Amino acid sequence: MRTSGWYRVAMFGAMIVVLLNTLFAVKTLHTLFLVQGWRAHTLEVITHTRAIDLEISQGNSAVRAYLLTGYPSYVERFHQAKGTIDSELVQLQKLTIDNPAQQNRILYLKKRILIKRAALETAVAMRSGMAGPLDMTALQPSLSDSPDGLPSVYYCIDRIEEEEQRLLNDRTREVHHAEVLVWVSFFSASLLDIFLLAAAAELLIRVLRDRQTLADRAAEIALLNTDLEKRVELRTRELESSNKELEAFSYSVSHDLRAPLRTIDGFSLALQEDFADKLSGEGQDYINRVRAGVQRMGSLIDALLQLSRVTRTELQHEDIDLSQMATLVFQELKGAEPARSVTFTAQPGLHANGDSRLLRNVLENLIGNALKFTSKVSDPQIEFGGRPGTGELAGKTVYFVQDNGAGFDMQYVDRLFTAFQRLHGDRDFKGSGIGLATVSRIIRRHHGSMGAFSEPGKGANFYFTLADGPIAG
Amino acid sequence: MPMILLVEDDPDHEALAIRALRKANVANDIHVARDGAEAIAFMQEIVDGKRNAPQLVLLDLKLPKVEGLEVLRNIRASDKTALMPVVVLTSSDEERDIVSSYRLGVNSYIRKPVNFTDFAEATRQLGMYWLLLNQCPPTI
Repeated sequence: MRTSGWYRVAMFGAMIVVLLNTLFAVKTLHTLFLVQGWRAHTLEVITHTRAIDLEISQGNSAVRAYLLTGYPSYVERFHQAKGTIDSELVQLQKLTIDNPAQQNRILYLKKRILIKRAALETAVAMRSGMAGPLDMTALQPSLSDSPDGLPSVYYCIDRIEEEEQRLLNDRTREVHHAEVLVWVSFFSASLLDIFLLAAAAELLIRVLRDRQTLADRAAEIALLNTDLEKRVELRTRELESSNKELEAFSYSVSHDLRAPLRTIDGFSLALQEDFADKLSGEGQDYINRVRAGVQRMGSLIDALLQLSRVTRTELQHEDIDLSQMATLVFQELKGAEPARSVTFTAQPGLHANGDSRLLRNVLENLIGNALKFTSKVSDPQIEFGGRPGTGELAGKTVYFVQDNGAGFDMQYVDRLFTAFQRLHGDRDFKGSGIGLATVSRIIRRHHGSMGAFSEPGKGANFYFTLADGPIAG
Repeated sequence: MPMILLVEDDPDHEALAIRALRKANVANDIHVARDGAEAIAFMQEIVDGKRNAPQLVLLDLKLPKVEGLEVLRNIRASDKTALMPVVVLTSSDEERDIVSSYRLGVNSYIRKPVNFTDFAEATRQLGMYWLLLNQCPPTI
């Protein structure tokens, strides 16, 4: 995956983590509010319970005070306390509706309160019926607390409060716990945000730095390119001028060097024709030798020109049927020597990519050589073929021309492809010594390689390879 | 009798060409221009009506002063000489010379062989073809 893809995944992951963290924080906050509400609720219950407790003791005290003093204001206070207690009890019942145990306790408390209240009301009634002095003995029964009197009421209230206290403790703990969670969640969220922010900043810095580095490098490369272009331009100019020189030279060679040769040959012929009667056989022979020398010089110049043309011409690439070309070349060359009988075989279907004129020149030279060097064997055979290359030439097709002619000594193989180097004297085989140099140059221009192996008297094998695809230049 | 114009700077080649033409039984007058400028002056005389047009021009390419190709261009440029048969006779077998000559409307391009026997044969055929067989355009 590309780097930008990874960044996107990381970005998405970070977003999910931040989202989860926020959800967690919201949840803990919500829990905190909830348990705080519950805690407030419990505190309210306790407040109401305590209010009942207070009013009961107030009511009780008011009754006692009335019994002692007989002032009716105390009875009023007693009735006020009763009202308050009843409304508080209703409140309490409403508040603890979700807690059946507390509801039971409240019902029980209510019963206890009613019993106590009945006792107190009896005492009040008795006291208000008494005229004159206070008869404590008559009142004693309604004032003395039986076990199901005031203590049991307080006991009930204590139980209710105790339960609420327990709840309060629990809820206080829960609130504390929720608070811790809220702290943790917010702290972790902040930490995470800081971390992500830092990571993003780091990434940004890195990207900017990389961009800067890239820009620096691009500038460097641009500079190098400019330099390179300048150098290429310079070299191209040099090459062009040297090519032009070469062309001018070739042109002069083709014209100026041949002109005197023609003069020599022309006047030799004129001498031979016009003064035949004055020339002895020996003189005729000399003139023939002069003319033969001129011919040889002429063909050397032509071969040299061909060699230089191979370097100068631009390659035109196309697919070539080498097998067919070899056969045509052989037929053409053989046509010049109709008296000879030569067996020629070409492996069919050998194709190559290259310049057809130059490759034809290669085949003309190689097959021409084969024809030349088989001229003294009884059953001349020439073969054109291809085989898969081995070693350094692995993966390429090696094309070859094999003959059963004079061959050569492998000791001199390196001299074969150099201009004007010949392994056979003119006495045996005529030649310019330029043909194989031309072939070698053509193969080099096709980015191929060539070589030969042989044994004297056992024929020669000249082989070459070509670049696989189209060649630049 | 119609005349032949030979444009050739090398006196040896001039002598040999004339000898070859004579050997080939070409009896026509042969006028020799020894450089390009002389050839162009010759053409100007034809244009001016001071001379009759030659039946054939044998033109070397590598000439002093004005090059052969320039002479050819000059011949083709003027109405009076445009249709004149011109044969390039040169040592050069450079492709660009052959192509340029044909572009400028040469009638034939012959490379002078080194072997003079071949040249004599070529000259004989040349004389036969251009002076006897070929139907020249009417003189303007």
